[in-house]
Amino acid sequence: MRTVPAIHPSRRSAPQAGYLLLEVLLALAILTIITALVFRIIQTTVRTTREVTYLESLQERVDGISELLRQNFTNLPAAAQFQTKTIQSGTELVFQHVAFQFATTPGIPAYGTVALCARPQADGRLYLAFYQEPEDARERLIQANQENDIRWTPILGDLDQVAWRFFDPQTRDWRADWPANGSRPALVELTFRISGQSQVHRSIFNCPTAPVLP
Amino acid sequence: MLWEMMLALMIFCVVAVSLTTALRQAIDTVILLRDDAQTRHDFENLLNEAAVIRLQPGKEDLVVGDGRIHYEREVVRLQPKTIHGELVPNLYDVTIRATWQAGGQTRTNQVRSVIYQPASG
Repeated sequence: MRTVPAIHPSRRSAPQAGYLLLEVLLALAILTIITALVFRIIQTTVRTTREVTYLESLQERVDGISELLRQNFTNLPAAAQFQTKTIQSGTELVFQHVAFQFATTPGIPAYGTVALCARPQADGRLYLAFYQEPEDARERLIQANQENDIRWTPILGDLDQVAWRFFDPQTRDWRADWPANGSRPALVELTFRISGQSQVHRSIFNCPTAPVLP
Repeated sequence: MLWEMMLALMIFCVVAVSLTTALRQAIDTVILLRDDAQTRHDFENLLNEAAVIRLQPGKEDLVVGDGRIHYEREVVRLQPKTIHGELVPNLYDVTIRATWQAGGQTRTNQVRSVIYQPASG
């Protein structure tokens, strides 16, 4: 015969273990606030990190281009000739009888013409580009009305403005162009602004006017 | 119950403040590095410029970029003598100082160079 366990009368009236509805709602509200705050902090951190990384990479690119141009100007051979040409998008710097400092294949010495200028992008902004070809290949293309065949290599894009100035050691003043008279400017100044940035980048390159002794 | 809740909120506040402080310090460090790189770049430009312009002894304020970093160039004429007692002319001690505000503090950096500038050059 099975026996049914007796239930103590005092257990029936004991309060059940658990949380009140108010407690649960309060906990949920606090959890929501904390989650929102944590999410906000994470969001800010991610956005700031992304902006900092972008600015750092931008600065690295600008520094790299600046250093590359600095080396090119500093190492101009004594026989190199320099002049500027005015084009639609600004000033074009033309170096003749110079080593190909922009060469992507090291170990192959070559001399010829190097040109630097700001070219228009498809969206209307500008990009800094260079061109290098053996000796008079460029002049032949221009004379043959095939200037569009000149292969410009972009080195820095998305620019709002690009300007060059040249320091004349005779007059001790800056000028906007340089004639083809065999002389060289003492300094070359490049200023440019990257699209979306307020900062104007300015670099001054020393341009040795006398032959550099080994 | 109240104590547990207060403890949890306190821990959260400490963590949130720590995170914010760490983020702020990281940003300040990046800005400091950027300013340092900017001043070095500007110093190089200004020294190149000083080598070719006519130097005059004295102090001069320089305007570079947006003016956030203030530059000052101090030129002192050097008059060293050779072992034979002859005066070596046209030597200038050029100091360029940069001063700017970052993280609520005034920061400075400077570069110094001796430039030979012949009178006829």
